[in-house]
Amino acid sequence: MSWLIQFFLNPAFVLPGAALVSVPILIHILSRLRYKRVRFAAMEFLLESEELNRRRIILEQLLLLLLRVLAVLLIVLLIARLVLDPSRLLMLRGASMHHVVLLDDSLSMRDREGDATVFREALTTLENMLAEGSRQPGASRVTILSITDPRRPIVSDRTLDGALVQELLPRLRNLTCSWRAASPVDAINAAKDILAADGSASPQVHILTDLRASDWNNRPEVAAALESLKTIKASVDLVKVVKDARPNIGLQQLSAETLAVAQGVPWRMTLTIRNHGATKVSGLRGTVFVDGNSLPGKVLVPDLDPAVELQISHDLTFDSEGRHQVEVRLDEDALREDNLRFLAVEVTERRTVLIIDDEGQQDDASFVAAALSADPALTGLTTEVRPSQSLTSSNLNAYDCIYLLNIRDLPADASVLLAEYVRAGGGIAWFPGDQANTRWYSETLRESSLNLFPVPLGTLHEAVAEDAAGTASDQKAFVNPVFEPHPIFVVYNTPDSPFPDTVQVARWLQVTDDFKPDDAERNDGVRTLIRLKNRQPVGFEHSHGKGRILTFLTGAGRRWSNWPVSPAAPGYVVMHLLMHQYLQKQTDSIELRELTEPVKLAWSVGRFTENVEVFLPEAANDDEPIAETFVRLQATILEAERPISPAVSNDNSKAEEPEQKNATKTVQEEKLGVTIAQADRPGIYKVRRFDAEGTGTDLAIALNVSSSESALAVADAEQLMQQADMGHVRVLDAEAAQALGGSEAGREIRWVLIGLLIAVLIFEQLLALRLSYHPDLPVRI
Amino acid sequence: MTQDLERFLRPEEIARISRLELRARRVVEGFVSGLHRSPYFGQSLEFLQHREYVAGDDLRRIDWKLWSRSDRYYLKQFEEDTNVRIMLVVDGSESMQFKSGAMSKFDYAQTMAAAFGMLALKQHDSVGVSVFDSVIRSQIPASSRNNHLQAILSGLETQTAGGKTDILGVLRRVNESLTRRSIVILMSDLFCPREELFKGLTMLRQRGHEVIAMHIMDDEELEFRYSGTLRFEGLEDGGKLTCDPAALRAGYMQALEKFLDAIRRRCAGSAIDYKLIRTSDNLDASLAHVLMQRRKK
Repeated sequence: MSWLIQFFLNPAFVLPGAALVSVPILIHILSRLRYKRVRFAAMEFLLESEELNRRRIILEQLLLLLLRVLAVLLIVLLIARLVLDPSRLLMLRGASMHHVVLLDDSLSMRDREGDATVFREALTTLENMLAEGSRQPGASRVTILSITDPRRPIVSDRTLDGALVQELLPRLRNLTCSWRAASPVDAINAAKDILAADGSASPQVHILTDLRASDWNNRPEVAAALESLKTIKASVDLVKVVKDARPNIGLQQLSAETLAVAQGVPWRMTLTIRNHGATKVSGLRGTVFVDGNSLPGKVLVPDLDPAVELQISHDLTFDSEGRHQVEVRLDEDALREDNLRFLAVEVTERRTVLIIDDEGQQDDASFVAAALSADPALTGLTTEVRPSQSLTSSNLNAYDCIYLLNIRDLPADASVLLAEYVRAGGGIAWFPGDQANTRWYSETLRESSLNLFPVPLGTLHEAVAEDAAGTASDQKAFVNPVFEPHPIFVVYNTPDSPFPDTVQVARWLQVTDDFKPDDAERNDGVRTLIRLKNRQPVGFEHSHGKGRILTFLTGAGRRWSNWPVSPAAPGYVVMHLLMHQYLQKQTDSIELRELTEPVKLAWSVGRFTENVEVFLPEAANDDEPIAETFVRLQATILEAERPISPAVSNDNSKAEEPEQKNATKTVQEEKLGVTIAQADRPGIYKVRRFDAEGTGTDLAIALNVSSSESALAVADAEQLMQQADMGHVRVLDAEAAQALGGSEAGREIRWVLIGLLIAVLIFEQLLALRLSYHPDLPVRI
Repeated sequence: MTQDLERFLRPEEIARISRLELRARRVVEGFVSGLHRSPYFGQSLEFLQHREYVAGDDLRRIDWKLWSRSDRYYLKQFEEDTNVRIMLVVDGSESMQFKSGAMSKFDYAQTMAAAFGMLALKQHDSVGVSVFDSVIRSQIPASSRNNHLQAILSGLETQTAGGKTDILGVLRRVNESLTRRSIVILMSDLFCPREELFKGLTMLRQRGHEVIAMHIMDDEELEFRYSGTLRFEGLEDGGKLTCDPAALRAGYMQALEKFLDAIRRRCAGSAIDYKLIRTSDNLDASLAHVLMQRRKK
């Protein structure tokens, strides 16, 4: 009988029920044995009737008996709850059936479909699924995870019943969609871990998602994660809660060359806009807000064809010092959250450039200083001209960039400070002079730990004038430079620009002969920016860490070229102003981040204490309300590794083997870290940390939504199913998922049995009516 | 005896029946005036009373002399005299024992016979009674004497139902006992061989007797309302059957209908008055029905 039990939800009723089936038979037999006697006169007619109807009566009696047996049998099947599909039985029986629901709450789920978001649609679908499942109380367990934060379950392994649904409904209705971008991989893996640890016999994973193509199509890691669920015998329902993709415009990026600008100086930001829809978009406009106040001018966006991305520059000028919040909003569409981006700008009265010049007269420095800050009110720049000895005593971080002119060589500590400055994002410009220690430049500065100089320096070279016969003449000679396309050479690279030919170079430092002039061939990260017309390279760019380094071998003054003087001076001035912008050290008081991972900050223990204050952005009127605008957090100790360069380590590195000499060593350094869980929506967050003296330092974090969430195109289910072995995966729409919780998918035949029972009872009653006497029916003779 | 009288002849029944008219369908040979044209009062030499005319009365009986004096219509009523002979033949076989209500078929037949006897004697007809099963168990010869009613009642009361039926033998003996043309009223459930029954009845008709067949049946026999498992045991050795009667009812009713149709048809063919009477029917209604039927003729 054990095989029979697997088809019943309440198997305890099966055997007693089978015994009940015999009751109608016993009643029938007993009724034949227990009778009343009647002395009757008209036996003649009774016997005649019995003779004529004997066979029919036997058949009718047997049929009636059969119907009664069948009725009892159907009642027993109903009570024992017959289930045709044993796998469904496992779920209904409950103990071993575990449903893990992955709720997609990534930013794209904020897509609006009418008044409601897709996320709300997903919640409604989930509520229906839960309510349907609770009709078999205790039959299954449920875990609900969000895709953006799968390690913090919304519901963790609870028995699904009416009480749980009642408890969950208010929670689900208060659930809000996140602003984060998230891949489903982590959530799928989390579901797998839960189900694998649970040991469920027939687990089910339901993923309620908008099924965007960018998340699900051509994503091998997602396909692999789905396929891995097969190893734990889990079946997967991908429930698509959105019908069709709607057109969407995304403000993909809001950027600027610098986030630190002088008061009154134009600051340029760049808007990157993409049309993710299938139709052309016209008349799109953007509004710029500074510190919450909209500016009168609108940003007019040209017509955007489908799948086209364009960049628009927009200049702003700030009238006051301090940190300003810049916000750009495009006209609203299906996903209005990606039409909004934030930036923070640090505005000071002046920006300062440090010019180091070891030449006695510092003539070269005066030309550079004049170019940068001839009128500080216009350029917003001031310059400080100093000798190289002051490098070690100065706070280099206070300068936007550093010019290094006519440096013979520098002490090691100054070189290290410069390297750290560049690594942290600072920019330097080299203009070596004729006193340059070429060996120091070529070897010491080019060590991998410093990486401050791009090329090996050779000797000083002078242009030679040649007469018509090709022999040297006494006339003053020069060579014109050729400028590669580069942001700092805009004035030279403009078509038909007269400025390139105005620059005349008479002397320059050569690179060594073994230096390969082809950048691609060298492939050392150094780019040649200027070549003289005799093919001699004299301008280079390379980077170190976050910083940029520009190197010019022609000098900054007029001893080697006419660059700072007429007629080349205009180009000289423009180039140096653009060099400042290009080299400008990014401010460390502003960070740009995207809403993908929780905001985490870490710092050395000695720099700030563990007390952290966070000022949250105020929500716009149409956003979900924010519970708090200020939180005080406590940082905790982190373990981290910090690379230590040999130059600053005081150990005996010289004794090490040559191959180990340049190897990065690590030491354990205590760090403090904090996670700002409240930073879960776009905006400018101000984080205040305190040093040992209690002085607070502010950090502004401009948190923006990820541009990866803007593409709303729905994935091709067939293509998804072909990515891997997806036999255990079904793609359903929301309506089908609601039915999934019902009787159809489970194939429990309760309603069929009830219908059959009703039919049998009706038929039995009709037959019994026919076979019995009813006073109202007969015809009186 | 008083109790017997009350049993068979309740005063209200007598009063009700005395308003009815028994009329012979045919001319019966009589000693005095021949035909009986009045329901209760016929033309006789002996004047009885005047009665005011009511619509429907025979205009020939209006006393025109009295009208000329009083300018009102009165009918002359006379003491009636007749020589009609009535023989009540009551079935006393075992099948007449059956009853589902207050009275068995035999009780009903006894009562009916007593009522007829009283009715007939009241208008000076001769009346006799025979109770039979396989033989005539009791026979009261016909007489019109005033004290004959007592003899009839006594003859009926002493009998109980029992024994098998030999209808042909009984009717033959009744036929032999009747020396003058009579009205023979048979009170029976007619559960007997049909051929023998009609052979006997035809024999009576051929001798010039008028025959009335009062077919007395019980409600259960006519409607067969039984349910549940029952064991039927036939009276007069009719056999035994255990069955669910509801399942057999349709066939039973069909067979019964066939039986009744045959009886009606044969009676009509033999000029025999036939009346099916239920034991639940009122006695006076049954009597009135028979008398009215005869009056129409």
